[in-house]
Amino acid sequence: MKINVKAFLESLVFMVEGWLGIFVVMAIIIAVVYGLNKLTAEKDAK
Amino acid sequence: MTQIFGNFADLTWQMMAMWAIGGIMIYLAIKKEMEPTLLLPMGFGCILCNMPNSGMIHTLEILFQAGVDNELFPLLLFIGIGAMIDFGPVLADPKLLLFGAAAQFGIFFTLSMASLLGFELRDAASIAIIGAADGPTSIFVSQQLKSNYTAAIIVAAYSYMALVPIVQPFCIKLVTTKKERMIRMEYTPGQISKGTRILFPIVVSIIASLVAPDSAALVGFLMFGNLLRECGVLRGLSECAQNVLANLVSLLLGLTVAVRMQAESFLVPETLMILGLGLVAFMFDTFGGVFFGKLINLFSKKKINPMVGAAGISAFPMSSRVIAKMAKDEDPYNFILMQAAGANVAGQVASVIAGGLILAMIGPLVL
Repeated sequence: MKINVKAFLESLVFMVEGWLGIFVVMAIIIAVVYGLNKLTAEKDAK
Repeated sequence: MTQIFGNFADLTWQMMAMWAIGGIMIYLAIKKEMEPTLLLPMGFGCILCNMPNSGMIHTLEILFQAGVDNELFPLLLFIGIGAMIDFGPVLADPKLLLFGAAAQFGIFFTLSMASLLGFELRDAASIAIIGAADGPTSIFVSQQLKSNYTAAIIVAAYSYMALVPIVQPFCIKLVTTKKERMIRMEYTPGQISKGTRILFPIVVSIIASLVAPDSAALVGFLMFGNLLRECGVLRGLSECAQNVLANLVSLLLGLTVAVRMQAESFLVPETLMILGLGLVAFMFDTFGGVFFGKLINLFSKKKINPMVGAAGISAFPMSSRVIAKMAKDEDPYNFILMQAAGANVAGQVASVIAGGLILAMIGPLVL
């Protein structure tokens, strides 16, 4: 086992980008689901 | 006599150690019913692949190239998983999708930890994806990144999924108070139309494919399975995908993966480290989900039981059941199964997107 601090520091960028990235994608999906719920509910009401 | 007993001379203690590992897997599958569809064939295959001059290796190598090297088996398995999942709770309360995102923290934390421990970036990313708590995603990502430790990663991924009832309660109790675990949540599901149920898998596939093209196959197959379930006109295919297809692919996958469990490549210190890092990934997934629940409680009038956040890992449906049971243990009249199930299916979506993002970020750097 060889501790690699440089690789660790470089990987922190992936940690931030990756985790935030999932939140962004999920936020888009949430918005779409709200839209779908509204759209299809209106159609059902008609 | 030499023909009959000659092979005995080629036996090594490492092979016998692998028999013991295979035996433990079979024991856990049968006696403890821990992921039996996968651990049983894996354990059996492990024993047969660690015989001197085993003919099993050649046969399984062909299957490995046909089904795992090209990621076919995990993707086919995803059709079955998609057909099993009812996205209803998350469609009724879409905010729960955020818990799925929060509980992927373990993946990225483990990526950093594995890098610190000296693993190459491709291996660190593949080890990290154990935190997706999703076997097929682990296989898919580790194969795409051409990791050197696919077998250990798969063993760790499925072992910890089976250990969710032990790992998660321990982690949750570490970071929550009894009062927090007793928080009751009102469940007022909105009406979900059939149109939403049908459009959801299509739209999510499109979004994921646009945002993270590498996740297109993963999300696409998962959502295709779900479309089979929700379309309402393919009940036979849906049931086939949920039962026959999923079972058959799991069986082949388990046996096939065993070919990478040969003593000389499996009994290395890195395997132990991967098992340890897999545990770290699961623990920090749980912490990520719980702390996100606590964060929301700081700003929200309607308090959330932070344990629901922990269900955001994708070990479906085990995690949601564990969380619901924990809530009931603290307060017999606290029912949070539906919220936990919502977070749990959100975790399924989030984990495949995490896999896609890992491939998008790391793939170009290592391939």
